[in-house]
Formats: sequence, structure tokens, C-alpha cells
Amino acid sequence: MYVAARVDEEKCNGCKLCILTCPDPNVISIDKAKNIGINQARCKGCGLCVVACPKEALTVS
Amino acid sequence: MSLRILKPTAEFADLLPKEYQELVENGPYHEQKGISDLGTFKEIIEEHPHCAGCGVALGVRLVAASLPAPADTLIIGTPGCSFFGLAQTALNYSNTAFGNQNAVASGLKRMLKIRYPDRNKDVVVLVGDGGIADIGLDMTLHSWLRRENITTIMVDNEVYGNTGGQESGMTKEGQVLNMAPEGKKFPKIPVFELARTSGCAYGARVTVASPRKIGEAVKKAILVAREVGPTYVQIYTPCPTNLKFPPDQTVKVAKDAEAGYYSFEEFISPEAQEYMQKTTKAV
Amino acid sequence: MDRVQRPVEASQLLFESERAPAFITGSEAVMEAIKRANVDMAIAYPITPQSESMHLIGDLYAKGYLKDYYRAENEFAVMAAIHGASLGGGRVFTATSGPGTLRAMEMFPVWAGSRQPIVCAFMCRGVSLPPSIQPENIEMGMLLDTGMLMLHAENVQDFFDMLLKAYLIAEKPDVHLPVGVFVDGFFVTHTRETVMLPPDDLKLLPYDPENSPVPVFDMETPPMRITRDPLLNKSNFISYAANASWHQEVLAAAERARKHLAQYLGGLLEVENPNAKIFIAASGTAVSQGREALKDLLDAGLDVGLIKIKSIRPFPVNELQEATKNAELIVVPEFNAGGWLAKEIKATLNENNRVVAGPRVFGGMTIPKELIISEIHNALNRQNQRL
Repeated sequence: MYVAARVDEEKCNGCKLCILTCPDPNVISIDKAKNIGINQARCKGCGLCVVACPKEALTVS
Repeated sequence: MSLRILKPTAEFADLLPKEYQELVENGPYHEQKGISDLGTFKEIIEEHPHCAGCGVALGVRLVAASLPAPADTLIIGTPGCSFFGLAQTALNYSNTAFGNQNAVASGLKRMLKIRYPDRNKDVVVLVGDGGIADIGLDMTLHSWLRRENITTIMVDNEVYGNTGGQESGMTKEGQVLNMAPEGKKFPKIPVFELARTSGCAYGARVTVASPRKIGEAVKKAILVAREVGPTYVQIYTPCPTNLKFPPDQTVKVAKDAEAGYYSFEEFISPEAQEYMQKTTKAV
Repeated sequence: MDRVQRPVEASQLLFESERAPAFITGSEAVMEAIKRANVDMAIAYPITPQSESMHLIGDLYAKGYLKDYYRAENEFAVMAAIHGASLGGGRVFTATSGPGTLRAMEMFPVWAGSRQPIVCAFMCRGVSLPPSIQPENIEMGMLLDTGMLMLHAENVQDFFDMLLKAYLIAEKPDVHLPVGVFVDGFFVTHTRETVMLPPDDLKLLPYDPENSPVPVFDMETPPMRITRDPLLNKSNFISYAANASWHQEVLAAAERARKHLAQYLGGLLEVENPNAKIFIAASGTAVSQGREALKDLLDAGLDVGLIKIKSIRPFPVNELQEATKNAELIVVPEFNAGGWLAKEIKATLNENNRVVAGPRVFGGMTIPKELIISEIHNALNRQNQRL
């Protein structure tokens, strides 16, 4: 079982800080409605996005 | 590279990998994209084997997203960690022997000027601290002293990462690493200052904790290199694997450094300043 | 430019146009060849005995024959920058000597592995220590397995012709490899001889990067998520297989050069007195010394022939076996201490106890013909004693 980042849509405000701290390309995306999507197959679970998120909307599990 | 070259003929389009099709449909080649657009377009770097939480990978990703004209950008690298992400990048990338990047880039840029006199072909050197400051320092400096129209970008992780965590010239004084069992005995090599005194028309020192600053610096550096002269961007890209901190702390380590010895700094020559003002006005 | 030049087919420039004599040095012959080679860019770094030739290339640039030229910071940087220029899709030239060759060593397998049609002249000299600026070609022995093609010129005429032909062979789509044109420094670079030159208002057609078997590095081809060179930093079977097959293709490309070498050079080797029982086999200026010895030996009634090896990589294996199939003695005079040519020949021939690895001189001396003659007499005496 691999670890990967997960987003709590209730808490997320679409600030995109997670996207700017992810070292891996094309993993975290955002759509026009500011919904965050995570390609969990490609997430390495480093947790940088978790630390960056001001709303504590991300976890790695 | 025109859109015509990038686009597959309709009959064969579905034979190409999904990633390629996404690049054609939603890549940054023909519509200007930048750092603030990340997450909304297909990035030109693809899945890579960098460690989790790698600062170099983040630095390389942010640089790739900041290129003003990826459809006409060529990247020269060198062996080392920076290679891993760059080798998965959808633009011409070459690395040959360790440390020779600024020499290869000099020859390449001059030949592209001969072959494409009326077009901008951006030649960008993107390598680590070992390649630029240690084994390739003479070629780095000589390319600047010769005023080559190339952009040099250092992803500075303060260590030889790929070979297993040895001291580099950019390692902080006192840091204990392989080949520095008693701690490094001299300070970081002042490459940023050397860039200023060796003829660079623009220079910036940033960290991965400030992605938007990286975006601005890389864009400026590449534009100035087209017309004015050599440019240098030094990005602090901490290495959790060899500096032994948790991988989720990379950006925090960079932020702390930015508040101290790795503060944001920029210089620009009067000529480059004038050129940038003209270019911005034209836009 | 002091001449308006017309690009013409190689056959017209090399074989059909009327040639006129010129009394020039080897360094000047380099200039004359590059003047007619339609070279885009050259990069120089001084070293004796190469320097004069690259001064003259600089003069060509100043007159407009080349589009770019500069003096770089050291030979490794030169060979790296010339690689970058070649990646960019143009025709390039540089030259070096002895210690410069060794300083730049890491780049030569890069050129070949990257399939760049770079032409480089090597004005061979001794390497340190003890230091020597004198002629010696030990550096050739060190370059044998870099993947580049290697031609060894005997004299100024060879040097001129081989440089031009090197571009034609290097740029064939089925070859597309670097070519080194080697001469023994000073003996060829700094001596004057009468050379037959084609008119200087003709030049080769420009290099066509579209004919390259590998993508040109100019972002004008669809982007691929690979390095321009094969990616081999991963430890898995695919990587090993990619590495191995890439190497095999470099070696195969060199093999495919044989037919082009045969066409342009008239063969990878030349034989004088092919029915002889005794041969002097040599390359470079040792051939000239061998030819002097040959005259005396023939006058003395010995049945001796001469084999001039022009292509060192690829090596004329079949040709050499054929030329020596009835030979009883093969003497290999060389201008170096290592004896790389004798080793190559021994590795090529059956019954290689026929091969005498010598005489060898080094440190800058010439090979007196007497030394070759006495080597043959000594070997014949040894053979007679055994009988």
C-alpha cells in the first residue's frame, strides 16, 4: 500500500500553495471551480503540500 | 517549433501516448503559461525518479514552468540529480560530461544564432552546484566572461546528491558530509558574486520557498540573455535525503534559509534594465 | 571574403576539378582544406604544434569564410563547445595536439556516442612526463576505442585530402560519426611540400542536418521525453539493453564507413610491391621513412614491400590479411613508445610471430631508414637461426 496525499474539499479554499510546493509535475491540479485533484498514482507522499496548506485541508495516508 | 510540428496528423493522433496528446492540447508550448497557472495545464516535465520531497525536483519543475518560450528552449545539463527530472522533459535536453555545460551551451547558442538568425532560441543551462561551482567553474566563468547569450541556472542543494551525499563547494561551512568527516572547512563559493563581477547582465538568488520570485527571475534571465548578455539564477533547493531532514520540511528549510544566509537578491546591468523596460512596454 | 565561392558536389571538388601546385606547410594545408569545406564554425585553443593551423582558421573567419570562431579556455571546453555547436546542426572544425588531446579525452566518446559528424585534426606530439613538444603519436593509441573514425595522413597532400574527405564520410547518414585526421606533428605540420590543390572558388555543399540519423538539437522536431542521448542512469534490463544496443550501433556505423573510405581514399591501405615476402607496414610519416628504407632494400636485392595503412578506425582487417597472406616477415616502425600499430596488426593476422613490433622511436627523433633496414636484417637472421 502506497501513501498518497488526500484533500478535504470542505476545508480547501483553492489557494494553490500545495501545487506550488509539490516537487512532482502533473500530480496536483485545479479546475475552474477551484476543486483540487490529486493524481494519487503519482504522489510520492512526501507531505510538502500538507505542511504548506494553511487550511489543514491535506493529509498523507 | 511551430504548432504544425507539434501536432500529429489526425490519422495517427490516437496512436500517440495520452501524455503527448495532453501536451498538444493543453501544454505550454503555444499559449504563454507561468508559475501562477500551475495545476491548470500539462507540464512539460513528466513523472521522474527524484526522492520524495526533493528540492531539486521542485526547483527544476518551477523553472520549467517559468520558461518564456518552451517551444524554442534547449536545456543543457550535466550528470547529477538535476538530470532525473530534466531527462523526462518534453524539450531538447542534453547532458554529456560532468561540468562542461556552459561550454556546450556556448557552442550550441552560437550555432543556433547562425542557423536561426531571426529567431530566439533560448539556451538554458540548468544544473546543480557541483557542476557549476566545482568541476565546471572555469567553464561557467569563461562563458560569462565571453558574454555568451545563455542563461545559467543553478539548483543548489549544497551537496553531491546523486553520488551519495558528499561535500560540494556550495556546502555550508562546518556541515558534516561524506568526504567532509570533520565538517566543511571553507565557506560557500560566492558564485552569485562571481556572476556579478564576471559580466552577467542579470542575476537573482532565490529559494524554492518563493515560487513566484523564481518565475519572475527565470523569465527576466532568459529575456535578458537573448539580447544583452549572460544571466544567472541561483535557486536554493534543499536535499532531505542527504541533509537528513524529513521530506515534508524542504520548503520550510528553504524559507528559514531565505530569512538568513539565502536572502533574495537581484542585480541587473543598466543595459539590461533598459532592455527590460523596452520589452515590457512592447508587451 | 577574398573569393566568391561556389558550392559544388564533392566529386567535382575532389576528383574532377583541375588542381594546381602550391608549396605549403601542413598547417597551411589545414587552412586550404577548411577554406573549401564550407565550415560554419571553428573553436581554437593553442598548443604546439597545432597552433599555427588554428591561427590560419581564425584568418579565414576574419575574411568571412566561417560564420563563427573563438578562442576557448582549454581543450576540454573546446571539445565540449564544438560538440554543442555540432548538436545545433552545423559543420564544425577544431584541432589539438598530444596533451590537449588527453585533456579533452572525455569528450571524444561523447562525440561518437552522440553521433556528431565532427572533424578534428590531431597534430600528434609527445605527452608528459617527461614533457615533449616533439612529434610522437602515442595519443592515437589512446583514442583507438573512443568510437571515432581515425585517418592517419602520411604527408601534407594526404592531410589536405583527408580533411575534406573526412567531412564527406562523417556526414553520410549511415555513418554520422566524428572523424579524427591525424598527422605526426612538425614532420607534417611544419614542413613544406608541393601539394596539388583544387581551385579555391569551389567549396563543399553545406551540411544538411536533415540527413542526420539522430534528431537535431534545435527544438524543430516533435518533443520526446528523452535526453538527446540515451538515458542510462537507471539500473534495469531495459537500460542495459538500450546502452548495449546504442554502443553496437556506433560500432556498426563505423563498419558502414568502410565502403565510403574505400570510395574516397581508394582503400583503407595501399600496398607497394604486393608479391614481396617481407613487408614494412606503417602509418603516418613512418610510411615515408619505410619508403626510403624500401628503396635501399630493393637495391640490395631483398624482396620487400610496403603497406601504408591510412584508416586506423575502422582498421583494414581483411585488406591486411590479404596483403600479407604470403608474407614471412612484417616489420612495423612507429613513432611512439607503446607500439599500438604493431599490437593492432598482431591482433589482426594469423601466425603473428611474423610481426616484428619495431623499430620504435620516441621523444621527437626521426626514424632513420637504417634503423628499419637493420630491424629487417636482424629479424631475418633470427629466422635463419631458427631454421
